[in-house]
Parts: sequence; C-alpha cells; structure tokens
Amino acid sequence: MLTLRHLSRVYPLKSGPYFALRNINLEIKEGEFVSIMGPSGSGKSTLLHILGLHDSEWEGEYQFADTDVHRLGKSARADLQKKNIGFIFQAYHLIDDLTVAENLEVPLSYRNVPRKERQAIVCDTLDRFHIVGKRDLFPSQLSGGQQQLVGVARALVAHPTLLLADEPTGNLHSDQGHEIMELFRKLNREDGVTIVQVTHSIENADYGSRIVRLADGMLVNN
Amino acid sequence: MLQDLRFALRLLARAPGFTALAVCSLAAAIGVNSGIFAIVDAAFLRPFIAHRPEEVVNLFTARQGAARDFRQFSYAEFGALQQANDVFADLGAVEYTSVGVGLGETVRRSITFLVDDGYFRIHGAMPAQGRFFTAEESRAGAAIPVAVLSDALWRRLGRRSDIIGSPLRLNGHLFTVVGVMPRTFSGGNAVVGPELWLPLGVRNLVTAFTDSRASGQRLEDPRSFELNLVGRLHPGLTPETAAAHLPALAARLDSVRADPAAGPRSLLVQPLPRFSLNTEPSPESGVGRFAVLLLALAGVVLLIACLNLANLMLARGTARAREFAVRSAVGATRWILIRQLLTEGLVLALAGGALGLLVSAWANALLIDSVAQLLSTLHFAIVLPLEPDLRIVGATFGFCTLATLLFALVPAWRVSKPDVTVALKAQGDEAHGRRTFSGFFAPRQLLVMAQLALALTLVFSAGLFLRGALAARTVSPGFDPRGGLVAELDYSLLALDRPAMRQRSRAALDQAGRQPGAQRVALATLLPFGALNDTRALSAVGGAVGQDGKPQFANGLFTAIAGDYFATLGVPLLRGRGFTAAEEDDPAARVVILDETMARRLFPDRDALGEHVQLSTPESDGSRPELEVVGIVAAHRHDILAAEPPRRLFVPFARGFAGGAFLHVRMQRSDAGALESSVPALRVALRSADPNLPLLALRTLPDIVESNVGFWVVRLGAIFFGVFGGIALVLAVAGVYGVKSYAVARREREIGIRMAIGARPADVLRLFLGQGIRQTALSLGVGLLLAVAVGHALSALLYRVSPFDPFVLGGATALLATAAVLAAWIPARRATRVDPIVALRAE
Repeated sequence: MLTLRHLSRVYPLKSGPYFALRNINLEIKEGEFVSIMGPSGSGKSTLLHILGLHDSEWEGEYQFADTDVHRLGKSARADLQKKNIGFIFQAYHLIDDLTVAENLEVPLSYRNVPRKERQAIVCDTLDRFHIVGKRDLFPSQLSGGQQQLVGVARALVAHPTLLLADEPTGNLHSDQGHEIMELFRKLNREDGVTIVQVTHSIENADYGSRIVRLADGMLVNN
Repeated sequence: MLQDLRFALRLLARAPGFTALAVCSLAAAIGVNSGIFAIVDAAFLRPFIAHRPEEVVNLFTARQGAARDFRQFSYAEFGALQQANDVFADLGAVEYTSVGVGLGETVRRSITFLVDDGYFRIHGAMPAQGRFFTAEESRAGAAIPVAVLSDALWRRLGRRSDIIGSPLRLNGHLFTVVGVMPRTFSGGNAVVGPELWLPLGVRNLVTAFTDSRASGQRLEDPRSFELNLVGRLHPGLTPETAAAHLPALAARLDSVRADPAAGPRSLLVQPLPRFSLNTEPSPESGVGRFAVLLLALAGVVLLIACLNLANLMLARGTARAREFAVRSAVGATRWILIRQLLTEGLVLALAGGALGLLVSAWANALLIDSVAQLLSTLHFAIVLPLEPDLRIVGATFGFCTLATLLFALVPAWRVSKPDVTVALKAQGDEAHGRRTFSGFFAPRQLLVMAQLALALTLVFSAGLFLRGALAARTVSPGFDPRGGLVAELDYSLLALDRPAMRQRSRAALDQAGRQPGAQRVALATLLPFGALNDTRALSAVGGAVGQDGKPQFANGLFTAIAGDYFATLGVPLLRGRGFTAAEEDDPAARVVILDETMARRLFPDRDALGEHVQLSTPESDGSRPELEVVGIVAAHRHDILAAEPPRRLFVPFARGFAGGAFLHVRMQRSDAGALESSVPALRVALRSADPNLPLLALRTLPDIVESNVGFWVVRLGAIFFGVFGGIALVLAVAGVYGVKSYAVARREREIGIRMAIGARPADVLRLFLGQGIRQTALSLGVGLLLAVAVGHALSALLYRVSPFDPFVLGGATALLATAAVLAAWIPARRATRVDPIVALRAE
C-alpha cells in the first residue's frame, strides 16, 4: 500500500543541514498494523507526518497504492489525503469551540459531503463509538480518554484506508490506553484498516503486526 | 499605586508595538478632540469681553412701525444717547472703514475702526503698550492724528519696542502711534478684529475720499448715519429688562432729527455677536449647531479609538489570563487587578494625550496660518487664541480620563475575574466552548463592528463635505475668469481730489491697454469674488409702492465701471448697450445698467430697457435723479455660497468712483503659466507710467476666484471632516485587522488541526474571511442608518449636496467595506499558510 524509496527530510539550519530522516526505504502492505518506535528525536513523528501528507518538503519517492506521491502537485496530494488518510494525535487536537458532533462533522465538510449525509454519518459514528450521549458536549467537558475516542472517531468518520496515529495513548492512563489499542486492533482485524502508529510503548507495539525502528533519522530494523 | 505605575511602565515598554499603536491611536483621537475643543472654546465659549461681558450690548435703531428698516446713528444722535440715562452706564461709537498703511510700493489696506474714547472702556480692555484715545482726540473734527495698532499690525511692522511715539503714514497723512492692543482683543467679535484703531476725531481726515456713498459727508453732518453704537448696561439690567426703558431713550432722537418729515424711531439692544460685525440685528443660531456637531464628531473619533483600544486591552487581557490567575491565587483582590489595568490604561492615555496636544497645537497653528492668510486678503487680523493654555490642557486631561474609562474599564472588569483553575490549565488559545453565534457577537467582535458602523458615519460625513468642495468647483461664476488679471488701486491714499484721481486711473487703464498681449481692459469699483461688498437700494420710477406709499426698493451690488468692462470680464450683454466714454467720465450721467435679476425684480411685467430707476441714497444736494436703464447684462456671482447670483446695478465710473478701483486686463493667453508670467510685466509697466501708483495688489482673476472666502469655507469643511473620516477609517480598519490577526494567531492550533484533518487553504480562508465579511455587512448596515441620521443633522451645513446623497452613501460604504474586507483578508490569507506540523508541534 505504501512504499518509500530513498526518502530523506532535511531541515536547513544556520549551523548546516539537519537530516531528520535519511534514506528511508520502507514498504507497508494493505491491512498491516505497523508500529514505529525509536528514541525521541529519531524522526518517528516526522515520518508519520510525511506518510500523512502533512509535509511535502522531503526528497525521494513515495508511492501510495498506485499513486506516485512524489509526482503529485499540492492540490492532488490534498485530495489523496482527504480520500484515504485519517490522523490521530497524541494531544487529541479536537477543536475546542465545536461540540463532539461538530468535531466529527468537520472532516466530512472538507470532503464536500452533503449536509444531510454528514449528519447521518456522524450519528452512525457516534453510535459505533458509543459516544451518543456526548454529542453536544465540548472537548473541555470530556476526560482525556473520551477526547481521544472522539479523536479516533473523527479520524475514521470519512472511512480512510490508512489510519495514522501519533502516540495515541501518550496522554492517557493505562486503562484508557488499552481501550484505544483494542479499538485499533478491532479496526485493523475486522474492518481491514491499515494502521501506522508511533509509540514508545512496547506493550502498545505488540498490538500491531510489525515494528519499525528508527534512530537518528535512519531505519535500523524493519 | 506607585508600584502599579512602575509595573505598567515596564509592561508597556516590554510591548513596544502594542504601546506605539495604542499611543498613536489615542494621540490622533485625543489630538482631534483637543484641537476641536480649542477652536470651539475660543470661538464659541470663552468670553471675548474681559469685564462682565453680559452687560455689553449693541444698540440699533429702526423706523417705528417698520419691521427691518434699520440704519446706523449720526454723531448728533450718539451725543444725545450718551447723556446720562437709566439704560447705559457707558456708550461708545465705532465706524468701520479701511485705510492705506504706508506709501508707494509698500502701501497696504487695513480694516480700521474709528472709535470714541469710551469704546475701549466698555470692552474692559487695557492696551498692551501705550494708551488709548482721549476724549479730546475722539471729538468730531479734532483731527489729532494718533493711532492704536493691533498686535498683528505691530508684528508686521517689525515688533518694534519703540513703536509708541513713532510715525505711521495712513492715507497719505502722518499719524503717531500711541498704543498697541493685546493679541486677543478684537473689539467686536470672538474671531477677527481690525488691524488699526483711530479716534473718531480723524474721521474726516481718513474717509474724505473713500466714502462714495455720502459723497464726502462729514461726521458732524446730521444726515451722516455711519456710527455703530455699543453700550454697557447699568448693573442689574439685561437686554430683556433694558427693553422697557428704551422707548424713553429713543425719544431723545426726535430732538436731533435731521429730516423733520422722517418718522419717530425706536431702539433695540442685542448681545454682541461672536462672529460678525453687524450694522443691524442678526441671529447667529446656525454657528452654535456647527460647534456642537464638530465636538460630537470629534467625540465619535475618540469613541472609535477607545473601542479599538478596548479591543486590544481585551485581547491582552485574554493573553494575560494566566498572570491574573496567578495574582488572584496569591491573594490579589479584584479591585487590585482593576486598578493595575486602569493604571496601564491611564499611562497610555496620558502619553497619547501629550502627543495629541502637540499634534493639535501644530494643526491649529496651521489653521490659524490659513485663516490669517485668508483674512490678510480681507484686511482683517485674526484674534482667535488657539495656543494650548490651562483650559486646553485641562480639557485634554479630561479627554484622557474619559478615554481611559472608555477603553480600559470594561476590559479591566472582564479580565479581572479569572477562573483560576481554568486559566492555569488553559493552553493560551481562544475561550473554550464558544459557539459560532456567540463567537460572532463576542465582545471583541462587537467592538470592532461598532467601530466600523461609527467609522461609516464619519467617512460618509467626510464624503458629503468633499462632494460639496467638488461641487463648489463646478459652480459657474457667470463670467470667464480665464486670462484675467486684476490690479487693485486706491487713489484715496494719495490725497488727490476726485477729478485728479479719475484722470490718474484713466491713465492706468490706457497704460494697461497698451500692454503686449492685453486684449481688453476695464475699471470697476467692485470685484466679483472679492472681499468687499457695496450694496445700494434701487426703486423703479412708476413702480410698486409699499403700504406707507413709499416706493419699494430692491438691494443690489453697486459697481461703477469704465472701459470694456463686460467684455473684459466675459459677462454677456443681453440687451441695450454699455456706457459711452462721455458717460463714463460724467459724474452726473443719468444712465444705469442692470443685470437680468435686478431688471426682473424692478420690472416684473415689462422689459426694463429704457425704463427709469432711482437710487435710495440722495445726491449731496439732496436730489434723487432718475437714471435710464440703457443695458441689461447676464447675472453673475459674487461668491459661491449664495444659492443664486446677487442682483447688480452698474453706473458710469465717474458717478460711483471714490478712489478705490480694480483694473481688469484680459490677456490673449489664458493658460495659467502665461497668465502668471504676465503679472510682473504688467506691474512694471504700470509703475513705469506712474511711479506713485497706489497699487495694493496684482493677481490673476482665477487666483482671486479660487481664494474666495466661500471656497475656503467649503474646503475647510472638507478638510475638517476629511480628517475625522480619515482617522476613523484608519482606526476601524486597524481594529478589524487587529482582531482578525489576533484571532488567527490564537487559533493557529485549530487551523493546524483543520488542515491536518483535510481542510484546504480555501476552507481556512472561507472560515476567517466569511466571518469578517458577515460582520462587515452587519456593521455597515447599522452604520448606514447612523449615517443617514448624521446626514440629516449636517443638512444645514452642506454645500450643494443632498444629505442623503446616494453616491456618497454608496461610495463611503464601498470604501469601508473594501478596506474592512481587505483588513480581514490579510490575516485570513496568513491563516492559510499555517503549517499544521509547526502549529501542532508548538503545543
């Protein structure tokens, strides 16, 4: 599903170029659940944001399904992202001024889903994640675990084929963390969603099918 | 408190951008208010009579039973009224005239008041140097040549410390300077004064040749009614209570009546006007309204600036929520927090006020320069004291305090009530849990919307005045000023007799006609768009009579002409003919030319050509000869302010010439450059023919029309309101930009999230710009209603533009809408460039 060849990410600094990622070659097949691990500053999140098409300043080749991402323009990359990718953040990153239901509706509105259809999808999603009772609450009125649940729901509401998660349980206590990881396993096994997560926890990594290790921006074990 | 001040100074120094923006906004707004207050205070509020001003009144006389038949007083009448009476504790007299100061090339005309010795006493004035006139100097016919200078004339003469006792040549006679007046003494109104005061005793000396009306009548002549009287009422009397005593006083006039057939007269007193020198009672109601309007609109500018500042303070308050929470957590009461914020506000306001005071003093100095320049062409001196004094500084401090309360109190109240737990946990972004609707109407958004609505009213007002100024430029004067040169001559300064003056002016006319490039030349005693008027009353022989059986008169501007006057000026001769050369030189010629409006007025049912008219003023022998109408010319303007051109009558030059004349030359080349360059050549030619030529000024006619007081007034209105509108526009746009920029900066995280979950730049642009556009539309809708109300209030002050002019209304709305949307677009555009990775990593 994803193929990276000779991918590098360099930040030009005053002191000289800084290689956040160096010559990454990586393949992730459809239906895989991959965990990226490594010490802080090893380039895990950078790699995840490149996979999520948030970052376009990299060098090398990136193939998403049959599409050569490195050949795409800005607009086409944005379309590819909207159609296929969902993203989960460690700090949840819900929009504070919007209710739970409105937060779920936002990605759909960016995908030009008609309003009525959006509302139906949001209702289904609320139901599926058992958060119907929270629909009109604001993020500040939810616990961390509940917020991350909404974050996962938001990432999945547009039915992406690839789910990227940046330390999704980093801000949660262990029970809540397990709950989220169980949810990931279920999504991967039952719904066939390809998942790539960044994690520091070997326990969470064990939920996945493969671990990719990074150190100093280089792939050290695949 | 001192600690608050120290902390406020440190905090403001740490945010130089915010401080500079706040101080500049306040300086502009407080400066405008301070400057306008200085003008309104000096012109409308401050007494211009030093001692018990409420007792000083003007005295007028009218024929009994006639509503508006006012005239001035004779010297004998003044004497009769001056005797002890139970109305006036003191009574003084003044005659308005002008004299030539200096000689030869340096001669200059100055407006002069001829006054008696009581005049200064009544005004409670003291000389800045020297003394006032004595009773002996004031006595009719005394001819003791002494003069008191205005401060303006003293300055123009070099501010000499030894001016007292020095000689001064006036109308060719040597006078001795005996006093100099303080700068702010006007002797008649709050704004302008004469350049010179002379005692009544020299009246016959300086006006013998200039008074065309009375043909050289002397002051003592009982039929010479030239004195305006001003009196100080007995203590306890008011103009209203004095009225009951006036009939008994008026009976004294019967004893000195010059014409036994003239009926008894009545007297009327009126407080001194602030803006005019009246020879008959007239109200000044409109100008007070203008003052209120100026102050109100300046207040709106201050309000806009305060809304702007309040917004910035709210934003800063939000950003400092954690600081206030910490302060509360360690024991600060709400009052302590409010005091801290108010101190910060007051420091800003005082800094803005100090800068504003400088700006307003500078702007008012410019205004005074402009007025002084205008008045110098009118030969008056300005006495308006606009320099900052204790009153102005006090008012400015008041504006600062008001501004502080307006912009700092509400934000201080709001942000001084922090929810400690929420604030300490907050991630520093916009308040949580706010819905779209309440976000749209959040306090900061409301403040900026109010700014836009108010700014629209000021921009609209500015537009109305600007359109008025543009309209003034399109008003046809009724003549063609292009290619015109005008030399102002005053032969009365040479102390010649009338035939000699006529002969010299004719010689100047001939000399001008020989000038290369001169097409046509003429002489006239009155200049269209000039500073002076000369009005005469005229009746049709065999025309309508009033209820008292006397002929009905029509007033018109009186001009004595010679040469090819109408062709030189470009006024069409509609019917009949001009004057012949013989008529022009004959002081007894019985012919007259009327303009079409005067002709229609006197002869509404028939052609005036060939008919006869009579002037109301008798000749020196008491006769009122009939004059034949030999020509009818097109109407033409004397200024731009009047709705219609004035009525005019023209007589042969010799019949109306008394020394002062305007020499008109129409040049072949009318382009501005060529016309300007022909001015020095004409000056040299005229001087070479007559080295003692009393040439007061030589200008192009387009320049004279342009510098007319009407244009100045219209332009000044446009400048005043333009400044208001400009500041309001800048502040409002800065407000929109500030609020939107702040929103973008505070919502970067949200933008990052939105972009990370699929928003494209256009979605983000729509999010921010859409709200800006909706808010702009709503505020401009409200602003339109306000603008219409302001237009209604301004209607009496507007020049040739409807108070609801759709073009101005549309233009102002479009301008503000464009500026506001642009101000919202720039931060919105910046929002689209937020890098989601950077925004989210910053957490």
